[in-house]
Amino acid sequence: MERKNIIILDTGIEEPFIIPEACCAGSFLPLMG
Amino acid sequence: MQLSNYIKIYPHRERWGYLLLFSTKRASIILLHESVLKSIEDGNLSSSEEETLHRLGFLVQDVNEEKKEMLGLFNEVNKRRKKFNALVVTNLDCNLACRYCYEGRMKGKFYMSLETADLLINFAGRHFAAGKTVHVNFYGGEPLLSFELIKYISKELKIAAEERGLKYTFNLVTNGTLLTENKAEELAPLGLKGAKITIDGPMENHDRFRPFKSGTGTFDVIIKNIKDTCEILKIQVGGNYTSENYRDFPGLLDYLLDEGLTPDKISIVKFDPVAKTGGKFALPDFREGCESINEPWLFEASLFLREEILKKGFNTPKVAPSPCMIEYHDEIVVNFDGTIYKCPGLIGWEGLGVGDLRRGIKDYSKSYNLDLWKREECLNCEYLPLCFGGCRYMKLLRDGNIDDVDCKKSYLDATLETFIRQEIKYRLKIDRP
Repeated sequence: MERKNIIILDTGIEEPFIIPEACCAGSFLPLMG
Repeated sequence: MQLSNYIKIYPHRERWGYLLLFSTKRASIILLHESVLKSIEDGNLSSSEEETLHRLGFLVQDVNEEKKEMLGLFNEVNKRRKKFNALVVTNLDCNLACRYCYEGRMKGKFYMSLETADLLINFAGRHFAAGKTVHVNFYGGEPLLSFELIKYISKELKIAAEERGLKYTFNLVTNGTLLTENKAEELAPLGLKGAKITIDGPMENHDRFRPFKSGTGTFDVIIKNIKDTCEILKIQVGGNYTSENYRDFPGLLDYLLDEGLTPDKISIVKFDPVAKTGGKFALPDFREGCESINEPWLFEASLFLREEILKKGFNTPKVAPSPCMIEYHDEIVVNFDGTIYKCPGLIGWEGLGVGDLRRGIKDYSKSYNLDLWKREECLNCEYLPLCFGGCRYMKLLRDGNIDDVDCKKSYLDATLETFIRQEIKYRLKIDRP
């Protein structure tokens, strides 16, 4: 079987530089977790 | 082509010969065979692989051009964005006495007047003329103490939106004690989409930190209201933890599941650390808040809580670029008196008002030090898209100024790889080798 050099797990944000929402109100430490 | 400046490369022990790559700019995740890195270096990558890696943000034509693009990023985003977002402080009153409230001594019987509400309707409504949608987050104090005002503003903005074939929507950032089924049913037709409700872990902890002013607990009232409204609204559960109590927070998730508040009924769960209160508004008795994202206990706490949220099947925001609202022209905070700020934490701080609803917004690039991350050190940092200079409010609380960045490097060094592995483990489909 041919080896896949690139395995895509998440294509991420569709359009470059159109970033989702700013940090949510009241959360001053917008952690990822 | 060259490797983007804004990627992280981690080992991937689960699949021999592969590396784990994450683009901090695009939030894309791939596994890449090690040989491909050499092909990129040697310039003999196949055209289809080059196209794929470019499309996902891992390859760029020129890294110096990429840095220049970052400098102009928000100019571009602001030109193209078709959305106006206002966080509206309808009052600074509250029926709760939370121990850590950052609005602390600023609070009182201060309510937005009808005259200010009309100014807000005009201000927000002008964005419809520019073809933008309008979204309001009603905030407080406790926004539902201004229930009639929320209805008034929303009715007017909904009519203005529909006249132009555009959309008006709103959310509530509420303590949840007043969000009854009747209120949700009355507000939904006016554009209410969701509510962010704070629950600080299991009942015992929550009631200690977020009691009614009388001192009695609020937990049961909030849970009942969530049960009664979760079919009408998108409910987002937030919670504020300290270094002492974060380990107890998963108990809340178990409780929600036991009560039938399953992941299909709660749109997002996200826990954040309580920030230090500061300045003239700080509550004098609260000393437990953190003052930096780089406090080591936070690394462990945020990894642990995110794992628990995902493990129990709840949704939480994915790891992605998260710029502060100060970077967007069309994101504002309106205080009850019509003064405009660029961050809810900075309400009332001298010199940080950026205008008002009557006269509009003045240039705030200097007072908020907008360009502070536009320097070589930050432009060369792979974490820039996840940071953009960090949080102005935390910097101000800690150092009394916003003269410099609130760098997130230590935090991201300690957490990002595991966050990405959590994404893979719980949310992404991957063929196991």
